[in-house]
Amino acid sequence: MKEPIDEEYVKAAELVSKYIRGDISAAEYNELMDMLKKYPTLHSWIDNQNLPLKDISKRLTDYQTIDIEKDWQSVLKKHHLDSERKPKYRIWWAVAASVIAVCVVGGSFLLKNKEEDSLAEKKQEITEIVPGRTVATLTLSDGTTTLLEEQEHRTLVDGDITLALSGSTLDYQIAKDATPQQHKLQVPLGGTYHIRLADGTNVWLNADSELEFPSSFIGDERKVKVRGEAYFEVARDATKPFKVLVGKTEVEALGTAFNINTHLYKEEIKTILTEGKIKVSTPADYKIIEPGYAAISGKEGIKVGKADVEEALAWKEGYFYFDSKRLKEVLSDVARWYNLELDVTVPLADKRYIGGMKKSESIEAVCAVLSDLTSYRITVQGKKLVVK
Amino acid sequence: MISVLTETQIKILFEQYYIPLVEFSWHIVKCQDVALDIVQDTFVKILEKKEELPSHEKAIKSYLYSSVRNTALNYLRHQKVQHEYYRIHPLNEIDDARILDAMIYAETIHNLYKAIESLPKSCQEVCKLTWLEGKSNSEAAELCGVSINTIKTQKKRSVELLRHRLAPVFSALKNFILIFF
Repeated sequence: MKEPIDEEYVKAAELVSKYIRGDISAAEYNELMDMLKKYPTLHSWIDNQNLPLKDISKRLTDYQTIDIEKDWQSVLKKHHLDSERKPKYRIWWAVAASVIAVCVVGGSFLLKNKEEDSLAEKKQEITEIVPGRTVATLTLSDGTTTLLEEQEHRTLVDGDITLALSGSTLDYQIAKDATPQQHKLQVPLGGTYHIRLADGTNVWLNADSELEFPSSFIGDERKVKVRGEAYFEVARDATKPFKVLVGKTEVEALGTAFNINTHLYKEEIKTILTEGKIKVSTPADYKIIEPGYAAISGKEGIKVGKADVEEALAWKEGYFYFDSKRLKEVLSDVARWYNLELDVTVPLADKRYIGGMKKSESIEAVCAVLSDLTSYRITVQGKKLVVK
Repeated sequence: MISVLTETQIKILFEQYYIPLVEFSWHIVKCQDVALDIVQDTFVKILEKKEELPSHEKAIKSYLYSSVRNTALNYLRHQKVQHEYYRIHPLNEIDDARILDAMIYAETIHNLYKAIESLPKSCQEVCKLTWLEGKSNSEAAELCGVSINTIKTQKKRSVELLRHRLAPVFSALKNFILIFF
């Protein structure tokens, strides 16, 4: 690590601060002049009459809201928790293209504490736009639909199939020997859902997505249909290839994990492979994809490129993740998650952004960060995400 | 002279230096939540190790600045984002000059904050409501349960007090007072 900051350095800072506050004695002033010779960068503070006073008063205003006692309590809380695990900063942002860059929205530790605190506060807020939750609709073979709420524990019956619904997971594994029925799981805007298929394959469905699947797999292949974005962890079964139909693209897998997304590009499908091997085919073409690579398939055929695996995994772990996405795409993702309509009244610059953010954040926090990072004012008005 | 501090002594340090240290770390990481987190983590470390701290004030201050700086730089290094970010802004850009600037901000905020804190409680409340939260005199009067004239008097009084405490000499301060109020 770097050497400690020496006391003289701190003294120099104190003197400059006194000088700009106009609270400096003659003796201190002479001392400061000596310091200037030693630390020439200080000249910019002394010579420049355009001191950043506006910034300082803005920051001072922010400090009025800090509750030192409360923050000390969270230090103590962290201190007691710390023996169990180390703090980790998991949420971060950067503007790759601009000069002022990184802003970070809290470490998970801080958030954890804050979440507890803010829970009570949240209850009092009346019209808060809440982030998405685990909510989905399941359509059974006879066309009846049932709503799957967050944190439910019950069983569902369709013909001779009994399904277990626990927490945020719908489990078909116990239905694997029954007569197959075609089911459809739909996740609306502002939700996500996890399902375990009869063969043990795990599927996470992102907001505004749907999955059609049989309640059990018979025959020599396992076939499902998806629209929107889904992450698959396919159970290994060499005798029965797992096939995912997405529009006209078919993704075939043995034991493997991958993410499929149709929200990203118009009429194109992006498949990112995180483990194993997959075969992506369209009526005209096919490609074998290695882990860490992505295929973009559409009318133009299949393009293969290096992928950012983080992108594939982030949403399912509860994070937004953007790797070099345009602001428009970032905003669409955010709007989809918070179930808002995107209202862009100004042309957006063609900068690209990388970064991530916890999905359980309030929309206000997200807007604040986005506004800070971009030159736009991003606010929520009613059910609209307005960009000015 | 080196001494091991008790939790109470550490708490006193926290109360005294929390605001300037947050300001200091903000100038390195440029985000308030992380800045708060970094200072808190620094104190968690101090609590954990029951670390040996220098006993005189100057040394404690430079010790705290150093620890916060190290935690903040460490944090920046550990960010995955650094690959993208530091291609354009190599780490050495956070050089000693920037650390010094950050300390100047911290010292300034520290003293101004203390000046406001030193106002009588009633003035502080009125300051907060009218200047910081943008409430009108009549709204503030209603919230405090006093007359508008009381609010006006309190406001005037706090401006005078702050002027007296903060601006004995320098013209820049006038600007500051204008902006702040």
